[in-house]
This record gives sequence, C-alpha cells and structure tokens, in this order.
Amino acid sequence: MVLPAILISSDIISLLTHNSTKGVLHSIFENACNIKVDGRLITIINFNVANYPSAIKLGVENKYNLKDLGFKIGMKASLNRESISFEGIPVIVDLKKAEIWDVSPVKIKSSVSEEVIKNNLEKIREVTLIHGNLDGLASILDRENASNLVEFVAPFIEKLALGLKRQNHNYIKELAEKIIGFGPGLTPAADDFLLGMMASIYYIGSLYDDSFDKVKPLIHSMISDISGRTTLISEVMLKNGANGLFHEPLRELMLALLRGEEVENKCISLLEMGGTSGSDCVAGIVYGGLLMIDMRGQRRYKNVSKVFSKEKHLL
Amino acid sequence: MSKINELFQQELKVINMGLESFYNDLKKQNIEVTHVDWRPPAGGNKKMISLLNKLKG
Amino acid sequence: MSVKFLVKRNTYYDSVTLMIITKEIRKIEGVNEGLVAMATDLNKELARNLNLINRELEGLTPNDFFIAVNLDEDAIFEEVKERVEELLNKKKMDTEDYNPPTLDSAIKYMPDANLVLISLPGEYAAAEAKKALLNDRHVMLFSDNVSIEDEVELKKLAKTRGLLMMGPDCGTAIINNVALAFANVLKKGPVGIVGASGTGIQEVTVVLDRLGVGVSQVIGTGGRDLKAEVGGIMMIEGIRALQQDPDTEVIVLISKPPIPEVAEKVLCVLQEGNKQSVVCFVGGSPQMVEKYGAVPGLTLEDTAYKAASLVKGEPIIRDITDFTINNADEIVEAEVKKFKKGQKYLRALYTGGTLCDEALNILSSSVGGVYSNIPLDPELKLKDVRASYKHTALDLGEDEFTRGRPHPMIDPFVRQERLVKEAEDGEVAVILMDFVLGYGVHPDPAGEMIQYIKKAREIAEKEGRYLCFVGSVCGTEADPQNRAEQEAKLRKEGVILMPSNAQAVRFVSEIISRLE
Repeated sequence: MVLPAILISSDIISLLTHNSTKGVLHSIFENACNIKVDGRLITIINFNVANYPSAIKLGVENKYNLKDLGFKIGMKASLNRESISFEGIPVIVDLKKAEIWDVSPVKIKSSVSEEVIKNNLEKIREVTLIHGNLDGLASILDRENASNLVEFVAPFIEKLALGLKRQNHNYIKELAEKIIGFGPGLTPAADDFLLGMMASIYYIGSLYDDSFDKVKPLIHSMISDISGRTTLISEVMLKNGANGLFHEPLRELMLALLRGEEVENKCISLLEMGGTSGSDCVAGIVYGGLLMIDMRGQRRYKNVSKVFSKEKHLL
Repeated sequence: MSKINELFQQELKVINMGLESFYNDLKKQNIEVTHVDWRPPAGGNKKMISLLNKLKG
Repeated sequence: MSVKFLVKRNTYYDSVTLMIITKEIRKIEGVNEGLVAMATDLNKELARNLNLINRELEGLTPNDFFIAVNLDEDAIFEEVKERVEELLNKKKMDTEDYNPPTLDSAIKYMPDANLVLISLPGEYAAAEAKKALLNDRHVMLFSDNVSIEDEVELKKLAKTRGLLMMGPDCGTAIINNVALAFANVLKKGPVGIVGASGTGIQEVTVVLDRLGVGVSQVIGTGGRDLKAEVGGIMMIEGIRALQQDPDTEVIVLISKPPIPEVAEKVLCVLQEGNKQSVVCFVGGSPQMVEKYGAVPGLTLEDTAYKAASLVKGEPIIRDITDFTINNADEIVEAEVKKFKKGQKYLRALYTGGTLCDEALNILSSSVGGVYSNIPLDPELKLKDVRASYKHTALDLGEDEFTRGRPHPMIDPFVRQERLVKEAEDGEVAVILMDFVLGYGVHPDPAGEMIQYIKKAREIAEKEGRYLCFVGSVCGTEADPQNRAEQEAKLRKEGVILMPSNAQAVRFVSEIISRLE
C-alpha cells in the first residue's frame, strides 16, 4: 500500500538524504506513529493532525487508523528523500510529492503595545477557562479554584518563574528538571505547560527586537539536562521548543498575539488538541507571557541585573 | 444551479447549535451531525490577573 | 485499605486514553484514590504524597506507565484491572461524539457540513447565523427573540450568497427527507412546500401523507418573512428553488395573509414558474390567489386535499368544508344532550400557533367572536391571558406562556395546568386540543394529557357537569410517537378525535352553536 505524503516539516529534510537512513518504530497511535532515528523522532501523522515539527503528513484520501496498518513497535524502517518503507509489511510512505512546511521561527517586529498583548493574554485566559480542559494544569489560570494537582506543582512553577525573572540559569535548570514529566499523559501536563512557557519566552520575551538570541539561553537552561526525565516523545517536543520549533496551532497563536490579531479562534484551535495538552500549553503561554511582560517592566524601571544568590534557600 | 438546488442533491450534513434533542433526533434519522458544545462568549468582565502575585517582592 | 499497582513498561498511550482511564477508575466503587501517569520524579513524589507508592514504583523510569489505586479492599483490584484493560484495548475512541466548542471549530471538524441548525438563546443566535452564512452554510434558525433588523440583514446576506436562511422562529423544515426541529416523518413525493408557519406546515404535510402524497422539500421561512420589513425574501428564494427542483411537481405556500404588496410580489414569482400551486393564506381572501393563477387553499386541510388532487391529475371540483367522517352529526346530537344547564363555552388549548389561528378563523364565521391571546380582532384580546373569558382559544406556545419554559409541544406542563383550571369553570362545555407529533416534540403528547383529562372530568362530575373533549392528532404512522397509538390512548379516555384540525374546529362549532 502506498500512502502519499503531502507535507514534510522542514527540520527533517536534512535527515532524509538520497542514501537510506535506518530507523525503528517507536510508538503507534490512531493518527500518528513515531520512528526513532538517531535519538530523534520522525512522526507520520494523518491529515487531521496539526502540522508538527519533525512530522510527515499523509494525504486526505488515505485516512487510515494507523494502528490497523500492521505497524509493530520495534519494526525496522528505512527512510530516504523519496520514501519510507517498513520491514515485513507492504506499506510505503511516498514523499515525492510532499511539500515542505517551514517550521522555523517567524521573526516579526511587533508594533503592538504591551497593553494590547496583556489584554489578549487575559482574553486567552478567559477563553481557556470557558472552553478548555482543566483536568491538567490549566486550572492554574484560576488559582482560587485550582485543582489539587495544580496546588501540588504550583510552588515549583513559581520558583521556576522566579529563576527566569532573576535569569539564574542554575536555578532554572534545577526547577525545570523537577517539573518536567509531571502529570498524567504521554506528554505529561507539565511538559505541555513548559512548552507554552517556552513559546511565550521565545516570542514575547524577544518582543520589540528582532533577535531571539537574548532569550534562547533562558530556554536552553530549561532543557539542558532532561534526558530520561520524561517520555521520549515529550523530550523531543521540549527540545524542539527550545529551538523555537513549535507546532502550527501554537505558533499561529503566538503570531496572532504579536500582531495584535484576533486570538480567540486561534486559542480554541490549540485548546482542541488531545486531552488536556492544548489547555496546559495555553496555560503556559499565559503564565509565561505575563512573566515576560513583567520582566520587561522590571528591566525598564530598575535595570536590575543579576542578584539571585538570595533565592537559593527557596529550593 | 443555485446553492439551494445543490443542497437538494447533496447528503444533508448538519452542525447543531443549541437544543441537544435536535441533535439526537438527527442521529436517530442516521444523519451525520456535529453538536457544538456552545457557551456564551467571554463576557469581558475581567478579573485582575493574580497569577504572578506570589512572585512580587 | 490497600494500595495496588499496575505497571506497563515502555508502553505509550495517548493522553486522552489516560485521562479517560483516570476518570473511569475513580468512578469504580471502593476506589478511594487513583493516579495514572508516567513514572517521572515528580509524579512519583505525588504518588508518595497520595500514599500511593511501593518499591516497584520507586524503581520505574519516565518511560514506564503506572496505575496506582488506593482501595477499600484487595478484591476490587480485579475490577480495576479489567476496566483498565477494556479501556486500553478499546480500538477506537468514540470520536463520533466529539463536541467542538464553537461554530468555527465545528466547521473545521466537519468541513462538508452544509446546514447549521441553530436553537441558541435569541441574543446570541443572529451572530452565529451570520457566521454560518459567511462560511457558505445554509441556516435553519429555530430561535425566536431575534430582532427584525437582524432578520432582514441575515436574509439579505443569504440571498446574495444563494443560501437558505430559514427563520428566525422557524420551527419546521424537511430538507432531503430529513426532519429538522419539529417535523413529521413523511413519504418522499412531488409536493414542495414553502411555509411561514411551523404547525401550518405540519398539518398540511400530515394530511397529504394520509392522502398518500409525499413531499420533495419543505422550506420554513419563519413567521415574519412576509411582513413588510422583510418583504418575503426567503419565501421568494424558496419558491425559485422549488421551481428549479426536478423532484417538485406541485408547490404549496403557507402563511398568514400578508399585506397586499408582499402577497403580489410572492404570487408574481410563483406565477413565473410553470408549476401548479396551491396557496394557503390562512384566513385570507381566495380572490387574489386566483388572480395569479394559483389554487387557493381555504384551510390547511383543504390545501392538502387540493395539492393531492393536482399531483394525481384530478380536477379540483370542490372545497373541503365539511366532515370526511360519516356520523359526525349523530355524535354532535349525542354530546349536546350530556351537558348541564349553563354549560356553553368552548376553551381551545393549542400548542400549535397556526392551528390556533386557523381555529379562530373558522370559529369567527360559525360561532362569532372568540377571545384569545392571538385574537383576529384586537377587541377580542384577553385582558389577562391567565383567565379565559366566554369562548376562548389560546396559543400556549406564545411568549407569555413559555417564558422560562420549553415550548408546550416539548413540555406539556402549561397545558396540563390550564386544563384543570378550565374544568373548574362551570360555564365550560367543550375542550379542544391539538396533539402534535413528530421529531422534536414530546415523546408521548397524548399520554402526558390523559391523567389531566381524567382529573378535569372528575372536577366537573363532582358538580354534575359533563365535559366534551375534542381533538386532532397532527402526525403520521411513521412518526416516533405513532399516530395510531396516540389516537388509541385518547379515544380510550373518551376524547372525540377528528381527522384534521379544521374538522375538529367545525365539530366543536356544531356543538357550541346548539348550546346557545
């Protein structure tokens, strides 16, 4: 069976050379399956799944439950620029006609005021409390009604925020390591939350100047030692996030925020992602976004640099 | 052909917003239907964001 | 109390599945606490806090998946395991019942949806209808309390885009044989209908069905379409669509009498097409309809008979203005003898607005003025809708009765309560009721009234009075409630049933006119 792909995420083009690369099937779901290649994951997704970093998207006409195609975990796969084939089953993913989806970060110089961004973050928060799934960490957006799960993890998140505010890289690293992997799910709730925070640090933290360079070190501290602390799928997601590679609904929402465009529907698209993932991610955006705006204010008025030794005791 | 006449030639596929009984009735008739879990839009009666309060100081 | 674990090493489940498992195991009786997660450091710490930990769990890695439960007794663990396996092996999650939160996301989820059915509160409904039209979807807007300005805007927008904008306040439509909102289960056939009145449409189609004639398309326009402000936009678009529709041979229009300008506009468009047509302007004059070459329907029933004749190619030789059953006179004679002196008034308790309107029209020429909340003559308006006066016919679906409650076709409470009240009035002789069946309405309208009919009889009998109950069932054999079953229930309680609303009204006129 030949499954024609319609899109390839730009970050994996370099992996798909004319010579075949070997991979192993790592996990299979109804609408996605992951192939592990050199510690990275290449994800084959059905057309109804949002565009992801490292993903290959199948065409509309070939919507199958991927669990029904005979894939087995551990099965060997062979990948090149033309196609992906699998050992033992007659399934071939045809890449010849696939277009490239550019996953790289979009640099925009925002002309939107902090006030507008803040108001839009507030709107996103409201939309999430109305439409979101609050079973994960999203109830952090309404602390008075926060779940036990949130109460348990919130002190760690607050310490992480403090670390970011003080730009204390060791502190950030320690807290992020602690939080990563927390919560139920394949991409545990905390990881989705952190991904949302990363997106806010990346885009809102670099607001009004063109470069992502100033904020990158903060995010890299978050993931500097996460191997084995969460699921592989989640680890890959966070490493991508640290490099500014986000899935489409998340990137779209961030761009809408920076451009001062309508955020409600973009937010809902994100909220609709499986289980609590979308809602946890949006909660991270709001939390991280407000933190970034708070930090800018602080820089402007106090020009505070790095005084962080005092916070050590909080750990 | 007008869009209304096109509709007459198509299989009816419905999005239902509001009474859930209408959704159930359509399902009983074996019609493809999606029910919207509609809520009133965000009212703009904002509460001050207190998320970061614990970080102050 | 005991703590048990289920561990799956190097296994991945998507978060939706895991969430469902978490919820489901907490529902099992005897489960005090449950945690389903990958074995990361902080998750293990949470498990420790919840007292859900053992040595095996401490040794797991973040790629291992665990379920920890705190149980009243060990035995329950078997049930937990079974339930978990069942949920994990469930091949496909039930995606059919996914409910997107907004219209936009619903369209994304179901890109080939072609019609949006809206029954939201009026204040939000127009905005959602507009969104649907801008996305090129046809709309049926069931909601009322939409301003006439919004209605005009929506219908103009729909017209430019070539879309149906049925409503606001559109209770009935049947598109491609699919019943939308309040509608009966009908045969497919050659009659196409455009109607501004929900129960008017239902009555016509139900009588057609009994005559063996089915419908092609039934387009509802909402009650205000033929008002001057709207100018019949949707009725005209509907007529044009039916004229182009190869499955439609005969066109039927149903509405209250419009103002002459709008009536002429609509009739002109109807005349342009080459299809035969019957027009029922309930209570309006037949001459104008004839002037434009259409056949006038005098009542809803008469309209159905005439449309059926056109379909069958039979000449229309007469209006249906009498009874189609043989022994109506005998029954009238028998009933009249049963009343106590002083009993003389009719109380008609309608759930269908157009049925009530039709009753007022028929009664005005047979028994004279009838009081109502929707009177033909403003002088006959009830001062207080909660108290009937002399002959009274009520549309219980009007705002003053439905505020804060579902429509009486869905929730019979308002009529049940009113019936008992009417029974206490010593001057009341006849109670007339409609029973509307089909999709959208109550699953057992007859059954819901029966005990109240009994109660009303008891109240009257205590004072030596007799109450005559007359009704008509607007429904088909194929309706979910089944017409025959509903009629049997009512007949068993002594309700006199007539084959149509018009005949039921004529029947009560016969009785009433002999009591004065």
